[in-house]
Amino acid sequence: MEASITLKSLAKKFDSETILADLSIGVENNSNHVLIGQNGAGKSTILKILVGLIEKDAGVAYIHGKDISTRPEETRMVTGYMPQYIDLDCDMTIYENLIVYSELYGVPSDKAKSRIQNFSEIFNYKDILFKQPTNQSIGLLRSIQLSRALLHDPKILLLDEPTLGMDSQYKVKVWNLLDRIGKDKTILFTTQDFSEAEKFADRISILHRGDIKMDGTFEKLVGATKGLSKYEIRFKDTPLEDILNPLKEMPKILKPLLNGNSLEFYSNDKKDFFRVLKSVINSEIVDIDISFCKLLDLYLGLVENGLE
Amino acid sequence: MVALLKREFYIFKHNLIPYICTWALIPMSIYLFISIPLSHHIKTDVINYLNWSSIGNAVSASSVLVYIITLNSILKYRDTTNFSKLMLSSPRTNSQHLMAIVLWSTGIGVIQFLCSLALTQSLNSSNLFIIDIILILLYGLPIIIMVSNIAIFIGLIVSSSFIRTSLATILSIFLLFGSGLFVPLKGAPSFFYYSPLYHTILNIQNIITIDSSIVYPSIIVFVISVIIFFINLIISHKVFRT
Repeated sequence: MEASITLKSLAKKFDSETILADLSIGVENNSNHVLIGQNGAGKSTILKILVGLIEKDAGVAYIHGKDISTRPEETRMVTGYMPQYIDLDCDMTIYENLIVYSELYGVPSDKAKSRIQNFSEIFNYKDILFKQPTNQSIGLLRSIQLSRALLHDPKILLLDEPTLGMDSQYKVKVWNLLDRIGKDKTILFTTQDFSEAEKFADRISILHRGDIKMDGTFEKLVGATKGLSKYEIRFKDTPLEDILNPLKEMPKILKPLLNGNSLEFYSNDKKDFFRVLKSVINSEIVDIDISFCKLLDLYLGLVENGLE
Repeated sequence: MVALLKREFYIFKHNLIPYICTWALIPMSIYLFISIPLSHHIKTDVINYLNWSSIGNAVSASSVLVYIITLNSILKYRDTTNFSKLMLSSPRTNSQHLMAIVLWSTGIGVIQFLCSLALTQSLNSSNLFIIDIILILLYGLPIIIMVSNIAIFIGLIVSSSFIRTSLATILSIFLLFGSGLFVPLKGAPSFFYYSPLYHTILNIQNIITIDSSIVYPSIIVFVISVIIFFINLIISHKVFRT
């Protein structure tokens, strides 16, 4: 499939700290692509480079085949960006904020007004449209920012943690809206919420130390673990550290850990689990939990360098 | 660029009263604390000093206001603020951003210029013809544009607020007392006479004193403004989006 966004060997340093290192990635046309990673992994930096807020040190980036460095106005015109922080202008009313933004993107006045009307009804801010964006809830302000990013009906949406600070009601509204209007849009978003990433992204890229560690569909990423499961055995009392010793001798057991009253480990062989169970059978077990490896487990495993 | 100007207009609309107060208070203060005291010491030919200094009042009041407004605007872009991020991620070029700042501050400066002129003329009970007012404004406009561009230049290259304030003080003193606005430059060092600013101001004063004027000093000041604008544009590519 044709790529909407292409990044090749992208690099960015802030002072002596490397934020992005030789990063290459392609975002398919009309797909939902998520970037996940720790704070400082470089997720927001990628989006900021794409909208021209910061200059890359090396590499190339294309939006719809146009180089963002040589044709920045054209690439920004087709892009809607929602930053992680609240950036509404408190010197103006919410309506004025939205009108100025739509004019920056050349939206005709009548279209802008009807879209503002439409979004204000969806996100319930019609009553405060002519008030300044102060003393409002974060969720509401974020939803106004999302409306703003959509005002010029961009082909590409760059959303930096779009549901950050939102309650579940707003989150549902945001994802329902993106689901509805996102069919003919390419959405590149970042999130810390792994359930959102699993649910809404067609493709997931895991970023770590400025580079893509894993990239693919959720099924592909989880499939790569070859049925890796997370096992958790909960005891009545906190077990001794010695309980980990027999596990360390089993090569297929990954990341054995004592977490309070629980013994946690990963394995893709059920026989290992039974062996562990046998070794701890003398302790009083209160519960056993077995779950297939999820995105969060995969991510934590990668980041902590245990499951690689 | 219309969007950028519209933003300024919306903010202006919410701050109309402070703006009106500023437009009235700056020329009033200059009149009370500079023109009146100096009128007891300086004698001018053809017309009285208070009338003669009305040009100085209009030029200095508008320059001060334009400097403040421009510097305030450019610092919002220079410092990494949410506003600058929003503006710089939009499909507008640096030249459009800079042009919008210059146009808006010049517009506010022109209103200040006219308010100052109206105030001093009415206080001195003198009457200027409409054509004189138009000529005074046309010849004074390049000074306002140049001050705006200088403020952008300082805002872009100077990151220390202490140095910015010091430069503003030096520029104000030069403008008020080194360019013939309130003190005729008789007996001043010869390099003052080579200043295009001095010739422009002298030319504007001539409109109300000897009723004649020439256009080239204002054109020189305008050309200097255009050059500073392009220098600012080059610097902005280094300063914005870093």
